[in-house]
Amino acid sequence: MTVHADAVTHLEKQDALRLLRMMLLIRRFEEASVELYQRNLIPGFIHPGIGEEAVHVGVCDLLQDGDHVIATHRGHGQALARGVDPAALMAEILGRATGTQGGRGGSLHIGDWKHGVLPASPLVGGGLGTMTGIALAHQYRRDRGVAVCFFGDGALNRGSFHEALNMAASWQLPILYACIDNGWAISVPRRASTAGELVARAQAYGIPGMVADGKNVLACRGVAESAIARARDGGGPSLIFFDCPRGYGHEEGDSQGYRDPADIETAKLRDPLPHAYREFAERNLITPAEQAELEFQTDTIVRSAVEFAMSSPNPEASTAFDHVFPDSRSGPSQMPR
Amino acid sequence: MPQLSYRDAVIQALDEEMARDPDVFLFGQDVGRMGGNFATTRGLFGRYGPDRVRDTAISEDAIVGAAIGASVCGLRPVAEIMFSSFLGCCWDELINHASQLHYVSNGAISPRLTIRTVNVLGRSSGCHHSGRPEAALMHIPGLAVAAPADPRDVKGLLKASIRSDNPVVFIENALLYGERCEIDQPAPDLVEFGQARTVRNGSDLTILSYSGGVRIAVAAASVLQAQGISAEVLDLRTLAPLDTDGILRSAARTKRALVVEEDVRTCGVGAEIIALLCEQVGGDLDRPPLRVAAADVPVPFSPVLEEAIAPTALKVVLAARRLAGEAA
Repeated sequence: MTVHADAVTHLEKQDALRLLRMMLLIRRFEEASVELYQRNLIPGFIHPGIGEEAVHVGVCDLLQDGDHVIATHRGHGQALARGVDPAALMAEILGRATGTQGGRGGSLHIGDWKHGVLPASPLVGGGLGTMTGIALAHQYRRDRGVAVCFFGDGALNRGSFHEALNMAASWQLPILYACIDNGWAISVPRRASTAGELVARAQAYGIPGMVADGKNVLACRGVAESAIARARDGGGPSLIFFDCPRGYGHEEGDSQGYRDPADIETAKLRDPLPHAYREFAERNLITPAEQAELEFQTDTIVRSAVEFAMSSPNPEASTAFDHVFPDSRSGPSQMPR
Repeated sequence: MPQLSYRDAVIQALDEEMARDPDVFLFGQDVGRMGGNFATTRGLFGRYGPDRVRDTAISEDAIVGAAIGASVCGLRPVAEIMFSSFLGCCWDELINHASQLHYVSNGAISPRLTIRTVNVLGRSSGCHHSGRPEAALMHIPGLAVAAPADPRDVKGLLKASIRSDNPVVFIENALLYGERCEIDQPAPDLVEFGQARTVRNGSDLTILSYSGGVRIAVAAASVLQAQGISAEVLDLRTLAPLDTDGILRSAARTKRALVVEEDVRTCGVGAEIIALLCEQVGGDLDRPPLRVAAADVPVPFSPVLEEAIAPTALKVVLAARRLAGEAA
């Protein structure tokens, strides 16, 4: 089954504001993280999700307490969209003790288990097996929970993709495989690396395969809604491709010398935020005053997240040795350091 | 006197833990109706049904990945990887996920899975069914590794693995499945990780081993006894954690130590133990410690070739005599 979904037709004002608020939070958060990175305040490297907000929000808006998600290496937005505290998230990206993982994960491994967000695996495709197992746990317990595995189109050619989808389809596990198709694996375009039609991948496993406009939050939400409902009701897994061309570099600092500048500009112009504003305004769901208020509130949240993170302490060096094993009785307590 | 076989110890441990805890379930290739490639899940499919004893596709990566995912939600999956050589197909899940999720989540997540797998050496199984990956596994921070030799330990350690919140790789040994021990007294329900077992007391040297190596060490110790050399044999039982105190105590007493391992020599279990001895009690030893390991070659098919690369009782006797200062 292939569905090119159009935007859902009915939408309440509160829904529109909720979706916009989260998309805007992700955008401003990512802009702030880029700025901090450029000021050399973030160790390591970051992969901002600017331009992916519609996918993150469209999918996560449908999830409930008890559901589980894994983000990609471009995962700040997916975590925020699941309700992770922006201040704790920014502190984690800065490697501070107050971060979601006490500074052990950083941008690449973003997670927050109390929100059902498994620490991301920046090994492309690294979350496919684990999330399939989480779906197995939901099925085993018959708790109507759903797993959502975000991954990029680069993961389509990992063996883990085939093994996971085959297992989930064979056992009818409650999972949505959400492929954020940005068209690029760092410098290699998908057309040069990936054989066949994308949705044919779903057909191979006998599960629904759909394509959504990844720059349109209502389209993303509309397509994901059927897949998540299906999973929750025991109907098994689905695979959705969110068409979401990459407007920015693979990571912050990637100048994309390998790409046609016109292609980059085209991708940037398909910006999900102005699109959502325009569409919601046309439907009389948001006024200019409400938009200004939303921008102001979001700036305040992001500014206070940055302040919190910047003023947070680094972790104590001695804590580097903690949490190697959950169970110290069979852990390395007897290993001399 | 009642007896327990190494194979029945596996079955009993799985059965008892499944009966005790509905969150324990099994999956892997052929673990269901067939009862396991080595008959180590025999009877469990009939008793617990297809939801709790699941046959899987040949997808080692997904098997271990799914076990990790199910376990972080609180279940206690026991996944079987039919031969330890096949761990190569799911290595990413072991080294990057099972071993790291607890740490990278700052302690919020516990991947409490058990992976059962099987070492084979000495049965002409060829190089893709003769894996001994234990040294590589104990090299990974965050993985617990058990490699028992004795049926009682198999049962107690497997039950402890399933109940532990740690990710455990539980290495069985195909050549030992038929081994029996007499149960002269009720076996302990659980065997603690990180506790070596003295198989045989001795005073002239300590032979340290695990899994299939223990049988070789014990055979060599009998030969040495007849030659007037008293060898202590220590079964390490678990490699991560390692019973460093027990190793150091015995070696400090006999002042001579020899490691027997079926894994290859370079960067092996013996290398780690000998480094430990040198760092901690080096000056107290009478002689530099030695090791008898498999040679640094792939495992050949021909029984003649395979024996040439494997540790044998004869090789252990010769090394022990050298260590004891006797002419070989």
